[in-house]
Amino acid sequence: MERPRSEPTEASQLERARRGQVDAFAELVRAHHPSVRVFLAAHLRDSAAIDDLVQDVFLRAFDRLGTLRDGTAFRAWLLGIARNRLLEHLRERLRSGLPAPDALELLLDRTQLAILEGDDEESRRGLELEALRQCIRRLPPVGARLIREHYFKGRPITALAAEERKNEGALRMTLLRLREALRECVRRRVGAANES
Amino acid sequence: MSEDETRRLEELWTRFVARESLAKEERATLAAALERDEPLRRRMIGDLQLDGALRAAGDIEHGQEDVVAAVTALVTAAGKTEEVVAAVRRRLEEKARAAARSPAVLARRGGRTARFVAAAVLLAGGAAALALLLPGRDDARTLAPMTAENEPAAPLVPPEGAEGDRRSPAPARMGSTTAAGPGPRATVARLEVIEGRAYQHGADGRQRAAPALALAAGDWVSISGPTARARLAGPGGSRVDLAGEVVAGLAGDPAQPEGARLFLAHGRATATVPPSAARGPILVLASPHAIISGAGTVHLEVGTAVTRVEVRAGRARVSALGVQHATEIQAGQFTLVRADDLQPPRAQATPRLALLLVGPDDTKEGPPPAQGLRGSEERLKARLERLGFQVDVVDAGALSPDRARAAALMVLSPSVSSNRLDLRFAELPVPMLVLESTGFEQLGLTGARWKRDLGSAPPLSEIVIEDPAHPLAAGLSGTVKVLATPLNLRWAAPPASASLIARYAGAPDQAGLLFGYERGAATALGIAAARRVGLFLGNGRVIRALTEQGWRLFDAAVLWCAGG
Repeated sequence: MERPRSEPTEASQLERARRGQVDAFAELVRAHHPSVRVFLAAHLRDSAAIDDLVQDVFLRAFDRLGTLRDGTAFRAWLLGIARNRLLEHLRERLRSGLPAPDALELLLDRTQLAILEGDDEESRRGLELEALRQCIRRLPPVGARLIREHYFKGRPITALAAEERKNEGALRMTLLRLREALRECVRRRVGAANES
Repeated sequence: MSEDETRRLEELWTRFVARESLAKEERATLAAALERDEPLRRRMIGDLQLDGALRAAGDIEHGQEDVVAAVTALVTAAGKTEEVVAAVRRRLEEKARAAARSPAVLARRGGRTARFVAAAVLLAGGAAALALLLPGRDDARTLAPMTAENEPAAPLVPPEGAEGDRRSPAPARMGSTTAAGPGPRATVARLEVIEGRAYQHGADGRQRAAPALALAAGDWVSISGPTARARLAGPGGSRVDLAGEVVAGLAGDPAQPEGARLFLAHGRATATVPPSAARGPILVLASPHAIISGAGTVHLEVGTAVTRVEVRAGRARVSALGVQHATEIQAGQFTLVRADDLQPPRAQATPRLALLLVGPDDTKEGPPPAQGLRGSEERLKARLERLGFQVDVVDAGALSPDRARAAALMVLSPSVSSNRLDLRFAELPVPMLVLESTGFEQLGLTGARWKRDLGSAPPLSEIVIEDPAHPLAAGLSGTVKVLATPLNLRWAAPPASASLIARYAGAPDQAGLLFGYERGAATALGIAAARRVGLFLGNGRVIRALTEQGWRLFDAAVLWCAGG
């Protein structure tokens, strides 16, 4: 069976990174940072904490490259580190109570922790970024445009509501429905990919 | 659950996900509903996860290279921190060996001899605590201080241990001069991490410090990041607040068992030391250039070649390592200390007051902590303080005109809900620096028509200086990289009475990213009662991506605005 074209490159980058070559490791960061960030951001709302944990994950990965036995499973290994780091972070946050959370934050943190501790395949893998991108493309044009304008271009809901001639509440509901549609689409695509 | 209830909850939920501010009761309603309704909870958590993933996907489009650069720097710096600790350790060992060969240095000579014990713990076995002593009056010998200017020529080497292994054998106990194995660790201080990353460097190598960490003599701590903050609770009620990039080491005081020594190798710290009934100060501070003792509140800024010592309350005695006298600094005074130079104390100018206005709006960086500022606002505050302002953070919705008039400058964070600002704000005779485009419109810096007076620029990281001679240009010219990564900005087209300082390549006519009004100039709403500046820092993400040149433009905007 023909090996995927990217494999030899990543394998050699891994090998060089194991020998301490930071530029090789930087290439691995570039390639895998999106997956790690999406995984963490699905469980945390604080972008400063996400930035922090992204860096921690890659620092740990660099420190532990010597323990990676199967180079072809680098992404899964990396997401494993991310999952463990996220578990530590959520547990620490719940234990320390800093910053002081209210009942809503506590409930969300506990629920996210329970999902992660559930250790099922979906929680290990996280949301697949490529599947998400494809699902966005499959949305109706108006919906795809709203998702891109709000999430990718950072346009606030107030501005989008004015353009769409909707009130803000109606636009937020539209985004909720779009997110639900995307979630279902991603679930189907990932499920189909696993079966094939 | 009825349809009405579901609609209500969805409405609350969508506002929560959109990072809008919810009242306490609204949050409690949401929490109670999610708690009791498991299918609803699963559905909403799934929604939250997808919202997070979409935000991350948006961040990735714009912030990829920034992350790669940051991680690369961290991976490199992770080794450097250990190198700094090891290098400082080696310098102190050299001094100990030099001091041990000259016992005369230890003896009293004629006049008074100040004696100071500074500590370092060796991370390898066989370490000894060191005594760093000031020479007596008659002793011409000066001790070479630890500065980058006279670091040993040999390159730094990694700490002992296997390659890549950051663990080290246990340190000897402080005060021991013989090789000793690890003993019980007496706590000298406790570390509370308030924000950012903090690391403890001790017996087990480097590890991430958690809040409320007990530190023993010989431990080093480092904090990293422009908004990093930590607090050390020391002996006798003393307290040291660390901020920014800091490396500090702790030691006991053999002359005073209840006391401690803090060595600040680099960074900023504010120490509050209560008076002590004991033989000497309960906490003594040191840097590569200076030794500071006393009771009160002292602020230190330790750089490569100089330490700035400012006494904010009480008094302090300051010595330079290579100078044979000390000087007394009183509250309201500061001094600059180099290794071989101790300047006379100078009066600290009364800082001007800057109001940093904040609000509930989303700044694209997550909700702020319950008792704190957003990361971007912490950076703004720190930068203003660095420019010499005393900064009061104020909720824009609660600011009275009288309080505003007492300020030398008002800075409106992007979190301010500008469309809810009191219209009287526009008329206040207080210089204002406005960072977000709805503020431009509300305060009369521009008109209100989208795409004529305000608009969206494509993602960019560079701007073009149109008026390099103007003070707002910060001495920059041509194309300037102001952001680490391309981000979406808003442009503004002020009337001709404003000075347009910077644009972006390909911008529509009169569309600017930085502009200013002199006092008395005509604005879109009337006459500027004081200087007004509009600057492109429209959200927290942009602020956090600023390069040093971007910050220079911010500094220039602050100083020019506050100047009139």
